[in-house]
Amino acid sequence: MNENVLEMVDIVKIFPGVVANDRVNFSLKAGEIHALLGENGAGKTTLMNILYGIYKMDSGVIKVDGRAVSIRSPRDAIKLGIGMVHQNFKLVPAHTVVENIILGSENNGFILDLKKSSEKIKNLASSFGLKVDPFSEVWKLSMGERQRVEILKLLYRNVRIMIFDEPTAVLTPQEKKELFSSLKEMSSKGKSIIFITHKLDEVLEISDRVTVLRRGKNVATKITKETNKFELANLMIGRPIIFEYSKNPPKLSGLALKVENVRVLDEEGNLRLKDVSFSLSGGEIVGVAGIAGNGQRELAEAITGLRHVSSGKVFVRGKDLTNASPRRFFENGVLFIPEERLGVGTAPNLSVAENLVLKSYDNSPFSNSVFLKFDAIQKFAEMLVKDFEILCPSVKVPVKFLSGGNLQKVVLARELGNLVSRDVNVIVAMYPTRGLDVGATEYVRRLLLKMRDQGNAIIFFSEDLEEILSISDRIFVMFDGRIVGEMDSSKADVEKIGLMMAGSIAS
Amino acid sequence: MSFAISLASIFSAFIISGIIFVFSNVDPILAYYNLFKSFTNTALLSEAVVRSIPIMLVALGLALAYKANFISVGGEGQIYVGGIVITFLVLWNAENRLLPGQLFMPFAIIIVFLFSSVWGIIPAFLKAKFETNEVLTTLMMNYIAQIISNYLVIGPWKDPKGYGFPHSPAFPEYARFPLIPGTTINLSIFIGILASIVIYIILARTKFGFEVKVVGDSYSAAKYAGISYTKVVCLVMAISAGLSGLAGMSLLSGVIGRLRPDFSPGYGYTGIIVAWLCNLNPFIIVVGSIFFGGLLVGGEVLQSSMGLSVGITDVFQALLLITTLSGEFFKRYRLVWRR
Ligand SMILES: Nc1ncnc2c1ncn2[C@@H]1O[C@H](COP(=O)(O)OP(=O)(O)O)[C@@H](O)[C@H]1O
Ligand SMILES: [Mg+2]
Repeated sequence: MNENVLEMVDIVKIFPGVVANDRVNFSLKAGEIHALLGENGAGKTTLMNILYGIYKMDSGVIKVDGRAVSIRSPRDAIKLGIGMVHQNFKLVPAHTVVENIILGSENNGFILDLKKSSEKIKNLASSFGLKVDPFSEVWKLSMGERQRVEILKLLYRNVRIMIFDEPTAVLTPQEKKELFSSLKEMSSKGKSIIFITHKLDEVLEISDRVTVLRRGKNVATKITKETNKFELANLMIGRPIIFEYSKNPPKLSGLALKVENVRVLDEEGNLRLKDVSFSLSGGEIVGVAGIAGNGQRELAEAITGLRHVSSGKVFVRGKDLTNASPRRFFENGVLFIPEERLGVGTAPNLSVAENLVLKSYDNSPFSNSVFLKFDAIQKFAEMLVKDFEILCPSVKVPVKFLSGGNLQKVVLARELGNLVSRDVNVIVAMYPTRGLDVGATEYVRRLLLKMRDQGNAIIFFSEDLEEILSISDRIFVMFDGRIVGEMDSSKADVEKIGLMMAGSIAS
Repeated sequence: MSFAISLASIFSAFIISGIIFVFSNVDPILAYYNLFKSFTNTALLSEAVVRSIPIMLVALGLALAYKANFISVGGEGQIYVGGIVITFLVLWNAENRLLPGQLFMPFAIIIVFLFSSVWGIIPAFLKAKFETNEVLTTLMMNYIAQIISNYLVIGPWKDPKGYGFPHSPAFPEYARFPLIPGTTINLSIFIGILASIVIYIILARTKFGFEVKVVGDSYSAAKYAGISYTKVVCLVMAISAGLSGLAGMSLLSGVIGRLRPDFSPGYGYTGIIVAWLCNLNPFIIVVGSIFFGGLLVGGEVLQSSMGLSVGITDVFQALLLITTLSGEFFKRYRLVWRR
């Protein structure tokens, strides 16, 4: 049990402008679950991509069973018994589960024996508790099921060191429970597991040991039982972290946003928002709870000009902006933090600086009537990068190279860094902390609270009830295109909110 | 890196064509020697530049469209539209004599550009409003334009004094681009050079160029940022088609001197290859077009001097398109050699 099956010694990986791994050491024992903890951009994925042969390290040694090895491709890794489940799954959607699993495996003869393979897959699936229909096509599967296919792919190839890169990010709570029990099952059968995450609770729940990375360096390796949430958070971020938010009572100013009987149809003509009405004052922050797909996106888009409202009215500070363009909403102080940071919130191949002026490039001082003024843009971008603590090698790098947290900071900096209306802004934020690490999450929440204290009106959508309870003044619950519940957060009852989200009761 | 890949694409095309030469019983070394001789001989080089002008104009316009991720293949049709418009203006002025000679060309350049623009806006508008596939619409419009142009030369615009030949009356002197003294190069080359500078400035320096890049990079991000997709693609295609229209005008007013059936030997398609091969870079496109003009001239030299078939430059162009597109792949992925 104490033998190291894997040792990574002094691993260095340098990307242009960033040292992603700076002499990192990592070891793995047979049958252990070893968590790799770190904020976004800490270098976790890079380290594992090196182990899996996707990136070439600049220096360092990898030993498997005590022997130094050279891993130049995933194929080499698999031969050594190392496999990885990526953050984004790599499956062929139109193929069946069996086909996906045996695709590219070296255990096949020249002629495919689907029947024999599917037997083997079924056996593996049942012994590790990985429920999935081998003959279903992958596109029909849920994210959790796809993940199981990825795991079965590794088991089918007799992998004994399994790497999971943030495996819970795409799972529902129920699926997460099932994954954890499969992980325990696998480790008890001798598989060694590397579990990448930025979530402290998961580390404490599942791992035997934990290695913490911070800005490319490993800062500690701990036995999980001998550490706690606060110590880990401190190691990960480099400073103590507070899990509670102290809030001043709201100082309400006038009406900022008024939504009256708004209805929205989707592309197929189905009613997605059914007579939604509410109002929002300056100085308050409202959290919207609900299971994704109950009209949240439609509501957010309807009050930012991105979606056509088929009936009803939207007023911003008394001005009727129903079905005005996104630009007009922005100019009237409606700021939007969208759900997809890359591709909607930012243009991936454009630089940090260009993305920071994505909405203001055609105003002075960033341009005159025809030309952009690069000096002004660069200066402004550098200021925002500093103010919002955006980690990037330079403002000229394409934003697609930034980590999730830093990408979100780019969006926030653009929307909030240079407030359009000096008066009251309406800030609409969709899942503003989704996928962010503890440090970035805390940063975003504090920023929203600061905006509220400055008198802005904020409405945010979240899947995290704890987050909604901890920072909002009022809570809305959405179900089936309606706001089915509305309450003061001081009087909120978690159980009742849960039932409303499920559509069981209305207030 | 991407420059090296472009060179490698060209090189591979030469190698593969070489193999084809060998199979056609032609010594490839001798063939290439003859081909490149056209770059050393002033008369042939001047001819190469002449050929490069329409290619350059089309490729510059396409580069702009491709930057907005609008995959137009409509250059060929727009060349014919330009040809139709300039011929119309010539015939119209011959009848009405409203424009004095000195004013004719500046006026014609503007009108040709504008009408071709309108033609180019059609597929852009259709895509913006109804999500039609621009590759299909622009391609189909090529056939429409070419057929209309051919109909006009054999029908209403046929030269009455042409002994029944299907072509329009010859353009008068004032409707021709003057030649640079001592060469066969006409002054429309300066339209090309000016266009490359303007396109460069648009993309690198202007607000509109910024919008083009955002739209080209992510449709959703552009929408979210309040940038009008319709405005951007319509404007981009207006410029793109306007330039291709001028390519048609430069062919007729600069080289041919009258409207003929099928007057463009596929310059609109060659422009696609040049645009990609030159990485959508406006300055490199100017050089790349001259290189391509040279290939066309060299190909003709081969035909006459070595008895090769007319198709040989077409084959070479096709190969170059294939190697260029494969090159795009290598710009995105890195190849790893394994034992
Ligand atoms: N392919 C790449 N090119 C350039 N920089 C990269 C690349 N991949 C990762 N990085 C940078 O390396 C650092 C570590 O990234 P990553 O390993 O993905 O972090 P994590 O998985 O811990 O969130 C980040 O600053 C990231 O921007
Ligand atoms: Mg990662």
